Amino acid sequence: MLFDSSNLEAELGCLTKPDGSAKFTINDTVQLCGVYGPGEVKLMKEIAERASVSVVYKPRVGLNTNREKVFEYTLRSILDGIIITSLHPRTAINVIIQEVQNDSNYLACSLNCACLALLDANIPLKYTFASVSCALIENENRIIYFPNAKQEKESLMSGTFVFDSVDKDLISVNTSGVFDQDQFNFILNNARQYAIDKIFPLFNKLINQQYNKN
Amino acid sequence: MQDIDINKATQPYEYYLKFIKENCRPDNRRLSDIRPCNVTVNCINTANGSSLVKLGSTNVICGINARLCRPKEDRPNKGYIICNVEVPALCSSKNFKSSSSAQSGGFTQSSVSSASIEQTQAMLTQLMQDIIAESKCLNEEDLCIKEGKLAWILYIDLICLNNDGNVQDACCLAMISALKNLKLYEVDFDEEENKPIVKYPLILKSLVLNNEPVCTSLFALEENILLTDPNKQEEDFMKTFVLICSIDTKKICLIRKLGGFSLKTEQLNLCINRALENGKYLRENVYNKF
Repeated sequence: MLFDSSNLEAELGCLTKPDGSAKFTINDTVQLCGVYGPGEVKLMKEIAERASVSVVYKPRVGLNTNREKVFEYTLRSILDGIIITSLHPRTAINVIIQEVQNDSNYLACSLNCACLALLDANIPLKYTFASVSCALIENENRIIYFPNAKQEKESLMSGTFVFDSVDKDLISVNTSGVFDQDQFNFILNNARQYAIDKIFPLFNKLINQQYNKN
Repeated sequence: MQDIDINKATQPYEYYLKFIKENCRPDNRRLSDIRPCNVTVNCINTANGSSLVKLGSTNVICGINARLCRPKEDRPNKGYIICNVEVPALCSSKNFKSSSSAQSGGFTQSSVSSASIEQTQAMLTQLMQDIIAESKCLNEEDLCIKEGKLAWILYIDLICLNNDGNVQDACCLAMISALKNLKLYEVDFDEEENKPIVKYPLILKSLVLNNEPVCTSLFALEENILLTDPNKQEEDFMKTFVLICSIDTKKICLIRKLGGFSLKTEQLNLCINRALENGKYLRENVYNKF
């Protein structure tokens, strides 16, 4: 399904084998996410009082480097805080993200994709979350949402922000570039507004459509 | 004091919270204080630059080895900086868990602090690399001696000797101190023979850093309780984690927050202010001392 802001595209349940799956497209970046679980857990990973969440990120070519490992860890720490793990003790929830096409924004894209896949898999969540990446252009004090690799390189600073759907507070952030406090607050508030205006309504629309169909 | 001592072993978290309510911590720090920090430079004679950092009882040693190399064709005027962080199993008992059993139950509601050794090392290595890249404290162009022919390659090796929490801040301190201590000898390039010439006696010159990044870790226990510089026990309690890297009194080059519960804008600004203050303090008291 294509959204009004034509650079964002999402699809639910595009894979048949996983319990939940989603595809998310931001400009030229495409990510595919599958969620298995809550299901059987390896004895080593079993936790008595809650479900164990694991995240696997598959790059399009090559093996995982440090960057991907850090990304997996970040994503796991986010998802683990959001999934109500205590509802499914002694089980495993596996999230697998496959990079299909990468033109920067991969963090934001994977996070949005993972959120939709978790919704599709009917995993109980505390809240949903939306991720926005944006770049601040120095001269004009202008913000570009979901910049491409070139824009990101030329910008003064860029960052990926993750907001929760209830209080719209910041769950996670990752920035690059040198900036001061005012610039950070400026970009943070704009990113939050963008998430409220664009990303969350997209999620709503998509889920509504999915359940009206059935 | 009596009843505080009673439940320390059986209810460590409740014990800890009793101190927090009084605005102090069991190790006599205020909430915004870092542990006493001590930096020794030039502790490895065989390395080109080295430092040993003690942050409380977290010890990190850093050695920088400089080698000559031929730069790659796609970046002929740049040298290389390669970081490697090791957090061996011997530096903490809690470090000794295999990757498969990385997620332990414990007190952590979200698994902010539970990672395997490999993951921790990968994260720290990436972080150090990012700090150098984002802060631009060191120009890779400065490491080039002759374009397309000869450049320096800096191997920055960090080893955690004792892990009592907050290895990332200690690593950053150690790395920047060692870089400030780094001395490279002058090398010329002989065009005809196509080989480097080292002048004797060696003329040592130190590298000029554009700025001095300081990393500050903050964490939250309950909502509205923000603390600086977690030790190992506090790392087990923490529910969310923010890392801020400042380069001077105003500018920040890196903000990273893992999952866990979400922070309000005011809390985030408080974190930034604390990080800037801490950066100022460490720059005055550590970096400027040598």
